[in-house]
Amino acid sequence: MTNLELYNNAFVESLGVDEAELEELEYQKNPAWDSVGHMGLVAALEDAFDIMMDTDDIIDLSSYKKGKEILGKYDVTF
Amino acid sequence: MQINSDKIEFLVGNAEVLEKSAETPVLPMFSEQMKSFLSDLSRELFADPRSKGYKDVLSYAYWIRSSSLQQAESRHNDVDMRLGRGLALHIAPSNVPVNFAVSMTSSALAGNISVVRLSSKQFVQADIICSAMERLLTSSHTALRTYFCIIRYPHDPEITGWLSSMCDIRIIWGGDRTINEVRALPLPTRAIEMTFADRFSAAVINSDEYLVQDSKKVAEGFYTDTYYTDQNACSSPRFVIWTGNSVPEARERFWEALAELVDRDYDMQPLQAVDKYTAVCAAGMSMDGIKLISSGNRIVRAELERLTPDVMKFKTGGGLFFEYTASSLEEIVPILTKQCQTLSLLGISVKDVKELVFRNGVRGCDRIVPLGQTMGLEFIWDGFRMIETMTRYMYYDK
Repeated sequence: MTNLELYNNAFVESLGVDEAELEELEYQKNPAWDSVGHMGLVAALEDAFDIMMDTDDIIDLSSYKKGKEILGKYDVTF
Repeated sequence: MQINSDKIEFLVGNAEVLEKSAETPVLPMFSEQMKSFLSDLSRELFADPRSKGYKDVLSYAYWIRSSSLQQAESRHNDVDMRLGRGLALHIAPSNVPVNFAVSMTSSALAGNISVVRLSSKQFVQADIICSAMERLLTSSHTALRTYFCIIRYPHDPEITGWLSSMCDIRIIWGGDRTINEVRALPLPTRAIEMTFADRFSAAVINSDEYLVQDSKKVAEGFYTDTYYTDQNACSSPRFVIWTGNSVPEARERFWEALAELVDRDYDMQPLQAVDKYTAVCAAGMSMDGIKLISSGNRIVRAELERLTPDVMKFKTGGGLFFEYTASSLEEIVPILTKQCQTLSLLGISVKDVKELVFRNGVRGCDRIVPLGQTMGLEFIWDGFRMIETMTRYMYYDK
């Protein structure tokens, strides 16, 4: 799978959202992405890319778009 | 000694695992097998649709995910000198559903064989975690099959005595009665014991700082600290102590924001309302200076003229708070007794509280966290560094 596929998959699997919704997806704006959903998402992203996210990045992960930027710090490019 | 294991219900493991546990080799601290098992358990719990409704199960899954375990390991610099002590017997509490798993995870990472006796109170959360463990231990992690037994049995000193007689660490969570009953059962001479007794906790809020915060967010955090576990966790605040110059305004806003959440989300049992009201009346009859200041029965608040730990005799769950307005932080010293566990702070400096504890040499306060985070899972609990304490430290000349 490409990085983009892995990234999308982590959102779809952990939050149970549709791929079509991803571009506009923001933390707390979609009922599936609340503080509880956030934990599953972080775990899924760390697993998908075999990384260990810093606490600050976990807090900053506030949208689908922002997430791509954050993963750049861990050498994940799209 | 043999025991009739028919009385024991196994949620994880079986009688054979239990009977042979003395011969099972211990593992090194943070062994690769155990970390791999726990991170797979994390995935399994996240994937289980039944976990969805249980924030505590998901918080546990998050806590044992691979990177979180790596982080915990990196905080220890003597891992290569530590290994398990042997059989760890956990007597789990009946107040917080996932505590058994936290206790078990610590002893497993320490390298022990973990035997957990669950309370007779049945929790869905325990079933979700146990069935996920059982699935892994019978498929991809069969090598660890002999390291876990999670059991239930009706109150029976004979069984607890038998388990105690072969364990190397006994961990008891519970009220004074449970602890004293279990303690009466002898341990092998080299065994150690850790007790997690009933405690109380307090929130300390600076009113001026509170007023500049998002009251809804604060209320959500405080709701998780208290109502989420029916205020039964030892870390759930029972005292709410106010400081600063805007106490009346802050208090009003704080309780109003909380009431909104409680009205919406909290399923209160009639008995809880009776218990809370009875507790305030009983406290008022036996002590001076206690005033009931709330009107509804979902949030029951009693104001104290003098801050004293004595009112904790009357504590009960489901939303009963003892409030006090302090003119300085020094005034909280009287409640920092052995029974005091967590202080959760809002707008108060951790350093000031830490210094207060050290300066006065008080026996209580094991933990200082921000308000809203008292339910956080940690490997340091009730003043114990859990994993280290459950290991054997082998000295050798490096």
